[in-house]
Amino acid sequence: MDWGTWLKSTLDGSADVTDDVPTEFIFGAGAVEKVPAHFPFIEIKVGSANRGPFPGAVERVSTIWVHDEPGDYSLIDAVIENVKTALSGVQREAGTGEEGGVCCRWIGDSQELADDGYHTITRNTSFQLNGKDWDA
Amino acid sequence: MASPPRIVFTEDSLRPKVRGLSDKINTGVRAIMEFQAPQCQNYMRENAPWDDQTGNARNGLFAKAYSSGGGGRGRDSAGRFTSGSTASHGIVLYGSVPYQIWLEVRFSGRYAIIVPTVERKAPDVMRMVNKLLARL
Repeated sequence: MDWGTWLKSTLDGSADVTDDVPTEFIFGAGAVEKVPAHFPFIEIKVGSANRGPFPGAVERVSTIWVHDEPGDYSLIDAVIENVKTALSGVQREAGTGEEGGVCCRWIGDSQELADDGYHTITRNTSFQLNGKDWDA
Repeated sequence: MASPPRIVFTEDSLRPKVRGLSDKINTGVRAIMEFQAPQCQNYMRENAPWDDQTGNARNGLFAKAYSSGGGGRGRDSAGRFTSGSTASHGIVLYGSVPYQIWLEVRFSGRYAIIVPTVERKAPDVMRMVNKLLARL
């Protein structure tokens, strides 16, 4: 398990998210090899580790990018709200299986952006993750 | 019968120290920002994840410390102590090439360096500020 896998599995488990973005169009960082055939799609980025709030824990920032065809941002906005509902306030008790403790706190949303690589419109939403350093 | 014990303050050492506290905090926080700004700039230039064509983008990454406000401390017309305006301190990270925004956004931020630097360095800055406040 790593943070990216945990985030994807949590989003995969949200019916509100997968209603708009089927699980095969929720990608980990760097997993988008070509522009997907389905819009909207999600790409999950997990930042580098910082010292966490207690020994053995790390803090990372994850950014969830939601892309859609150029035009209206309303579907992106709706997906972002569903992502926030799925991830905000997620807490697992420490010491429960491989996951250990996880705390996920919403930080903020980006403005409306355009990605000239994927030729999409996009916004992202960021979360602070605290917990065991799976990615170390 | 003996009179009850009592304490007589003949010197007010508390209020002058409290009045000087905001100046100490502002001076300390300003010094932290000025110390951390070049650290942030170096981090960006060393870790920007793109291959240089001209070097303009890498050499155009800057971090500048700023401080504003905090003045006006004194007494109001009724002779009451006033703390003055709220001071603001920060570090601005930016890229000076016109296409910096595309480097930050393209392919879900694959070539981003400014936001990842904020995520990486902000905890260092806050740790130093917390140490400063703990000492005062």
